[in-house]
Amino acid sequence: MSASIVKRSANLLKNSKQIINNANAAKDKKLENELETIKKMAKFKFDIEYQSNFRTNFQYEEKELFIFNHKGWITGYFDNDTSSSDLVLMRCGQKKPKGILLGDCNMSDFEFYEKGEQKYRETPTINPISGEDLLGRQRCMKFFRENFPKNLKYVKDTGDYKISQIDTQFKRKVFNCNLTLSHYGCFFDSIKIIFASPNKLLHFEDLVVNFSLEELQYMFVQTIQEYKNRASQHLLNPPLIPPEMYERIHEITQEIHGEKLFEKKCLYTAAVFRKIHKLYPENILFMPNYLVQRTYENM
Amino acid sequence: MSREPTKICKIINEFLFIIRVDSFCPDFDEIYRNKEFKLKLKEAKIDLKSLEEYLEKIAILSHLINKEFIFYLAVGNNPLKVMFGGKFANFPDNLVTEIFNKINNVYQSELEKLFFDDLKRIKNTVSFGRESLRDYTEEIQKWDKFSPMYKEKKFPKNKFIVDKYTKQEEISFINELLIAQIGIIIKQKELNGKNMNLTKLHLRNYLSGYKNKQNTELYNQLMVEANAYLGLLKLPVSFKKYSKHLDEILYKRLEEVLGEDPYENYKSSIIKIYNQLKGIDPFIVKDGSESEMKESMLKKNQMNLIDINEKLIWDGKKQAKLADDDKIENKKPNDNLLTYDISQETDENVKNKLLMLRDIQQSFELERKETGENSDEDDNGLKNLMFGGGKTIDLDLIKNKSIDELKKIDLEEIGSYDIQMDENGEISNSTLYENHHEIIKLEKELNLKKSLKENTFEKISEAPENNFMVNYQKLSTALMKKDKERNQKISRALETGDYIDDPIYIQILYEEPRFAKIREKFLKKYFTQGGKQVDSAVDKIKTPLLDKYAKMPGDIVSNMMKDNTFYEYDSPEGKQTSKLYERFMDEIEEEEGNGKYEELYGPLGNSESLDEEVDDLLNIDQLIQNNLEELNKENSKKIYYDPFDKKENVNANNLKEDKRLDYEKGRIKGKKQTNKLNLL
Repeated sequence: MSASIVKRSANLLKNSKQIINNANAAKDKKLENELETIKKMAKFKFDIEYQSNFRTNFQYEEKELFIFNHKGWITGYFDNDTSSSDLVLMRCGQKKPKGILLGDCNMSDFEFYEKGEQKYRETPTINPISGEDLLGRQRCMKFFRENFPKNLKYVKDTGDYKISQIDTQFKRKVFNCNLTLSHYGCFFDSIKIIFASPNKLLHFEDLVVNFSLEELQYMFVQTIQEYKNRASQHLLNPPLIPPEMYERIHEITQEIHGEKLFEKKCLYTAAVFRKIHKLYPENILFMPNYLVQRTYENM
Repeated sequence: MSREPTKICKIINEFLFIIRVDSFCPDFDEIYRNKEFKLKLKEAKIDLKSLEEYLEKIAILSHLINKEFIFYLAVGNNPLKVMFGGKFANFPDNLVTEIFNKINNVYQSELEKLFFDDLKRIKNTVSFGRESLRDYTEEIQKWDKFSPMYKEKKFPKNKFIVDKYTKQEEISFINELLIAQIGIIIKQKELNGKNMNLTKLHLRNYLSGYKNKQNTELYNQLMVEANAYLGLLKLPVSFKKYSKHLDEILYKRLEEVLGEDPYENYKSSIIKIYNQLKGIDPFIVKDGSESEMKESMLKKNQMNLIDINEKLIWDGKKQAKLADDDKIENKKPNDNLLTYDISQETDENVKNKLLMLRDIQQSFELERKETGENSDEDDNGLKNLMFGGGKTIDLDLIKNKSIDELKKIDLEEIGSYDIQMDENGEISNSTLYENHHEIIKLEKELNLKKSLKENTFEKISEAPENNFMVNYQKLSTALMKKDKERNQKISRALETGDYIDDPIYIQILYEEPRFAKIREKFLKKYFTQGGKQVDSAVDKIKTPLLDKYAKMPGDIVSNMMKDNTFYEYDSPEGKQTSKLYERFMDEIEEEEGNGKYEELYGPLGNSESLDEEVDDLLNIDQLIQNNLEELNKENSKKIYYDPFDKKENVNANNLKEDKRLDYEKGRIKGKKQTNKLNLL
């Protein structure tokens, strides 16, 4: 029996004894303070004023389609951008579509919103794809009914459908497109919500088999050079945390290597769009901004 | 006219779409995992080289596109078991993570360089509308204002608290966990057949913000239950009313850690370690010579150091096993372990190794001092486990270090060692040595419980069979309490010299050699044939007693020492002997005051005899316990007194009537017995 186990067991016993038996009154005040902090943390997200990120002088790509004698639309957006949130909700109000297709959301991606980081403790599922995996209305309804009020990560603006993630570290909101659109869709019975992106691990499989290692290394070097070029010209703001840098790298790869790395993903979403547009006309598809042109060509 | 070409274009587009859809465009099922994909997979070999290639590709892609693969691996969940049709599923998880981390570090280090180079641009950017970074001193002043909790603990100044942000995340995480556990509890109750619809409704109202008394009480009750399952938070006394039915849950949780009898196993483990430390104690014997140290070491024949880099551990069981294995294998040297027999080695070697041990432990202590670990670990207790609170790091340590090195400082459990040393080499701050009084108490409780075979954590249910056991347990605990009180009373009285009406107290005094000597002197002075003649009244007592005891074989005094009948106070003989005895004691007290202690009690013993006396005094508690058990046995016989049983009737009839009644009640009155003591 090592000393660490004894120490832990001692802590356990102390804990059990203190719950059942007496505890000093002086200590209790500290504990009560901690409990109060936990309760305050639930209100914490509403009390602080958050900053939000605007993208200026930028053109959003939008396309109109006319397939099977009905209209359809594609619009581009960025995560971590509040001006794109206004655009997305505005298009939904104008067009009044019968179905909303989420171009960057998947069945397993939605599990992250439900379970959080516990998703990664379970075995990943790459089942053969079926039509039932695309439909997401019931799941979204369940999420907003049960999980969302307990959640501390995401916050809803009052009097609006907009939902955004919280950085308590830098006191800012990060706009989340997938949740706002599914939140909007849940309020109208006629609208269908559909997950239109492929599984991420499945997407990785295909790229790993089809590309050689030297090609991918070359892409990696090229993106970093591009990042340095843009940074030297002050086109990008300097990042405060590493994940903020990753967002920019992802955008650059979508911009430069979109033909190679994201071709099949765009083909998949286009196929899903056609499949659903045949049955239920008048749909909107929301894609990351740099992939709009590519999906339009694959239709 | 200008609209016509646009119309024509639309029609053509439409026509083209239809053709594509019907002929060329694939369905969404057929895009991933094609035939081409499967053919290419078949060509690849299942080797380490191919695995390294695949993992390197994934590492690049995870930086460029998503980090999902890394999130799975970081938890320990290997997604290669599902990917690639299970082709690389047979490789062990540890190997995959090792290879991936090796490959990934090359790409990650370049990105880190890029990040830090890009951070330097903050100077050049415009600070309008943005919070600029402050100096360290300003930042620290802010922390001190923000956290009065840390002020109360009196941390040294100019220190940076690392875990502030992680604490907020952890608190939110705890809240999620508790709510999830509450859901599980409600499901279990539903499966057992209870209707939980009302509680669900109350909870939903509470979590959405509509709070009442009912809501909050219900939520607290469920939260305490969930906390008992998970063991996350300490709770104040005001939550005690919610924790009435939680003994079983706690017992199950302790079983997982400590085994089938957790309450006893925990105690036995602590006692074992304490005794080992007590047996060896090379650090405490300061003034002793080397031979004494060696002897103390020889109690444990072997000493074993396991993983010096981690901790110092003294284990009894492991020593024995390792020693036997080494003998069989002709003592193969182990790299991680140092084992040796002290009996085979010379004194110098022993001395050198002890010095080595001290150096190691002092190095641990230096680390603690640098990190500024708090010594009040027990007050924090579980807080440190949960919140990681109290971790503080000097600013000098943080400066000029990369992120990897900083992360390592976070991840180390600083100051988790149990033992702390002074400059002189004494163990100062280990909790075991501080609380050795408690450990002795635990030993006694263990011995008592092994005799009674009872557990405090016995299950309580409403079945009538168990009600008997419950009542029995209550009775036994009540009796144990009474016995303990008696123990304490008697031991206190023996120290101070106060008097108690208790037969055991009298027995102990009566059998003690110091008082026996005084009685002998008293008898020799007055009841020998050549003794003093003080009064005529004494002679009246003397002559019949002398006649009575002279008839018996042996000396008169020895016979009188055996018999105690003439001490009894009720008889006319006893009244006068007691007066005599009081007079005798007055004389002795005067002589004591004059310093004639040795003449009265004999010469004072040597140091050895004194040690024996001290040992006897320490064992008084055991003596009292043994007497109590015997007395309880006698009483238990006499509770079930049968008038038709002849053997006991004979004994009972010999006694006086008053006494017999007392025995029938199961008691011995103190007053009758006290008369003896007046004579003493």
